[in-house]
Amino acid sequence: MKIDKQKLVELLVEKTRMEEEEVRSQLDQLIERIIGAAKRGKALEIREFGLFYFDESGELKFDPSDELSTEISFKYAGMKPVELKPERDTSFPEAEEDDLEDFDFLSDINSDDSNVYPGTEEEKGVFADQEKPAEKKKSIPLKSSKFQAKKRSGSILWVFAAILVVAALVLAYLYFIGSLATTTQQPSPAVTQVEPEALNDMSEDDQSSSAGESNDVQPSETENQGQESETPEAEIEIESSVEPPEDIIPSDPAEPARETEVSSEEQPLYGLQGSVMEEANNGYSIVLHSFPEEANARTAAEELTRQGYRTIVNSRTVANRTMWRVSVGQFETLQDAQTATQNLPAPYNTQNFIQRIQIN
Amino acid sequence: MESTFIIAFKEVLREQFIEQNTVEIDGLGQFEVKHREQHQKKFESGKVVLMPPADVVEFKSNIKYSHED
Repeated sequence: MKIDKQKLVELLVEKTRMEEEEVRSQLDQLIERIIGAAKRGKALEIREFGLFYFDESGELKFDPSDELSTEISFKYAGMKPVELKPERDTSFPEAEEDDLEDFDFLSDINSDDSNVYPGTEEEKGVFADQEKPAEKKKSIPLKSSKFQAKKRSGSILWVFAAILVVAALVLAYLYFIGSLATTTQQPSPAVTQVEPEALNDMSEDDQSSSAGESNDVQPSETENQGQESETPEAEIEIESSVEPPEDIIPSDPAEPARETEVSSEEQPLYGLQGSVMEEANNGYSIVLHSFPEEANARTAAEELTRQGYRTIVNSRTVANRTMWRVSVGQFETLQDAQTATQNLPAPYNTQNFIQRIQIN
Repeated sequence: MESTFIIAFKEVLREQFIEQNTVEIDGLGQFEVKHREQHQKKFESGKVVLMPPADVVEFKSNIKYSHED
């Protein structure tokens, strides 16, 4: 969509609640100042937005600030340049092989050439042509012996590799058997969530017969699974690209919750954890989820709040689509927010972006 | 010039850029968000680097100024 000056003025009126005429006047003043400064050979910088200046060819240029660039390119935040290894020149190995053949160390050892008078430059020139065929003859048997040696070392490598593969397969099989054994021995997490009453029932059944134990556990396990599938968690996983797998989320929410209670009294104005401070809403926040449905955003926010994070839910219209963003933390600067992303658990520490806090 | 206006100007333009909208201001120029694909960059030292993709703001202006004026 294209925003012209008229539409921009309307948006500015909405934002500033100033009169349209005043907004127009302010906008004209800003344009005059940008061009005036540039004409004086100076660059005009609008902090956290960018720099306007005339380049050498006399064209008006704009360099966006780092903050603006990061916010616009938030989808690719965290992606850094990767150094690539230069492509290997395939013509090299042949040349190296030839060089090695020329360096015929066996013939050097067998002959007493080292003690032979090297000759003057003219003599070398005379005998050079005569000596060349002899050198070629020597290199032929060496080449074949090298080939055999290579073949031998190659076959040894193959045998070694095969042994490694077999060993790896055996280890994998043993690990699989071991993990099967532990899963059958340990109670599943779903079983631990069974209500105390159900546990009492189970213990009674234990007394009656050990064979009935597994039968009693199974229904409660399936009940729990049924409940879990009904919660919006399943939907969140599909809709949100940054939703972590359940096993990554800290399983014990009691600890962060306690931290929230303690820190709510004396928590700093800005930070990742604690409760949301209205005075800190002029800063930045780390977006972890983006949902088309508000209910899913609220559910995800509740989970993050339970883990002790300052959680903010707000809506943004992107490409004519309203998205509900769930962000954590309140930070004074963009840099503080970027640093704080390193303290988030995986995959949040890599799958996030930073935005200015906006409260709907 | 009021600081509230400057703050609002920055916010409005930022929001429009995020929504991939082009902003044209008469007397100044046109801001447009372009997607830059990931690409290889070769430095003079011979180092080759794979640059990540990015959305970047491009600014075009018809205003020309001769430094001799």
